[in-house]
Amino acid sequence: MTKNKILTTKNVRLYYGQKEALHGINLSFPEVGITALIGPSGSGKSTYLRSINRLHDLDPNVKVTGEFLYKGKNIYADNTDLVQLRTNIGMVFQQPSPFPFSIFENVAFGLKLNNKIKKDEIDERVEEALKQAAIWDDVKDRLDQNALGLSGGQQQRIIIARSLATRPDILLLDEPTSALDPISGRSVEDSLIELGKNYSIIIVTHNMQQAKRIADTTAFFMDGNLIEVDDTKNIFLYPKERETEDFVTGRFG
Amino acid sequence: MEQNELFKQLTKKSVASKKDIFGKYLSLSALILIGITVVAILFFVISRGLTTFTLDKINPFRFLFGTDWQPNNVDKNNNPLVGALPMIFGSFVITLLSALVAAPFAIGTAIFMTEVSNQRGAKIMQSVIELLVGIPSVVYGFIGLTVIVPFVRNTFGGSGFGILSGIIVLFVMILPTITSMSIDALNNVPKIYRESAYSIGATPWQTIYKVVLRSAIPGILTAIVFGLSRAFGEALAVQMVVGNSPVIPQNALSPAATLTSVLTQGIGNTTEGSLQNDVLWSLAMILLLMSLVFNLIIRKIGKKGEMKNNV
Ligand SMILES: Nc1ncnc2c1ncn2[C@@H]1O[C@H](COP(=O)(O)OP(=O)(O)OP(=O)(O)O)[C@@H](O)[C@H]1O
Ligand SMILES: [Mg+2]
Repeated sequence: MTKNKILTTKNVRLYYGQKEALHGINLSFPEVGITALIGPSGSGKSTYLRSINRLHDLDPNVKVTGEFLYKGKNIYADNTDLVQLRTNIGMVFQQPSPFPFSIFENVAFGLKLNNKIKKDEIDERVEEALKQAAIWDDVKDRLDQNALGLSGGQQQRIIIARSLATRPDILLLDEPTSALDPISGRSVEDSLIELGKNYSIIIVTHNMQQAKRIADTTAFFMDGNLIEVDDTKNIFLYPKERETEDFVTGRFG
Repeated sequence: MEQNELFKQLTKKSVASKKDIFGKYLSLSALILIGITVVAILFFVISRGLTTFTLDKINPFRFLFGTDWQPNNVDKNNNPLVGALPMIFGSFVITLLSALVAAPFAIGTAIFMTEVSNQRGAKIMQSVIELLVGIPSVVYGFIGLTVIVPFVRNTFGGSGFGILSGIIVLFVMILPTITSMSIDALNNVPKIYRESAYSIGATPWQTIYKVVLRSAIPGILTAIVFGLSRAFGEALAVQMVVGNSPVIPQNALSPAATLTSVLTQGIGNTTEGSLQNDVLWSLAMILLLMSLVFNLIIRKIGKKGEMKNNV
């Protein structure tokens, strides 16, 4: 735990209307490496993940308190540029959701939002992102085809490429493989393992095997609390908390 | 023995399954009835509409492209003056222009209601739109007659009756229809598209026009064509303000006529079996065929949209 932290959250509380869904989460993330968030359904994993790129802003009934220090700056400060923030912190959802556009347009989407990027550079960065997401070879000959024509696993890697194209530092993924068949899921996992060497990846997963396979660090959530966070190996082999042990050994939910 | 009982029980039709069969036949017969009605209408209108060309020996070409509409008179070669082009032209111009003007307003309103305004504002607007959809067309025509016609007369001169007044009345009439269908189209864009766009750094406005609007294009086109077809078929309100002069209009203020306005005016004043009556049926046939075309277009667009969203 001596590595540099890119994101530190302190005492995060989140309210859906009157209901407090997160009860003071303290958790930080290294500059590179994969952190898995695990825990039973309804424990607040998605809620926490979505607070990191301020996606809850879309819902006026949600209130977030606490500190989110991203490279030392508070994400929730009034003068935060949300556009910049979300280009730096990308997000991938459970359901593969490419826009009904061509593959190229999907991946270039974030780049084209910024008029300053030249066409040549867009082409380059689309290719770079597709390669990083390990999908380049599958699609390089049909970039102009509709992304909805791809398989689920391919679509999900297109989405990952779409997030990577804007060169974020942090990639948030909410159960990115749970809507995929095992083989597609593994292909996405493999891409993530590669990406974990250069990015800070935070992934919510219900798949314990997946957490074991890909995560360096694992955090266990329950009922809106962070119960325990440690190296993945320790969480699964030597959990310190009773709840964690019950959960990872399957005696729970 | 026991097995026999069981067998009987399983093969005997239960009350529920009997009811099921009854329901099936009931809806099937309703379906057949509707089918017969539709076929009968089609047959009736088309056979009557064709009489002009078969019995009355009118040249279809002269009917479609002739510009002189005086069914009671003949030209110097003794050919009846039944050129329908002025009405065909009038119908298309008024319909297309009203939809063209209505579309941006409708899309703008729909965007405002689905993406911008808060829930209470959207609800109020929703009820206003529903109210507007439900107003009978004669009321629109009446308002057109008392408000729009004088307004056009005082602003632009002329009698006030004409193309422009027709366009304005139809614009107001189809606006709510196109709007409410566009709202549905926008609401059908999956929420995850919006969240995805935001998550990549799109501003709310970029999200709307680069993702939401673009994904909803098939639905919005359907809405516009639907508005078009409603405008095309509207008779009463148009007839009240359009001036009913079956000549090719010279400008936006000239009085004109549409297929529907000539029909509603003439159908009661002609005797059945006469040429004057037959040509009206031919106009009705054109209207019917155009409605079919509009429906085909709507289905085509709908199919395309489905393909896009479900693969
Ligand atoms: N929009 C919302 N409004 C009100 N309550 C919500 C909303 N979203 C989530 N919650 C509640 O907040 C709590 C945490 O939900 P969250 O979706 O974060 O759990 P999760 O750990 O991601 O669960 P899962 O594993 O099923 O995805 C739950 O009790 C849930 O019911
Ligand atoms: Mg979740």
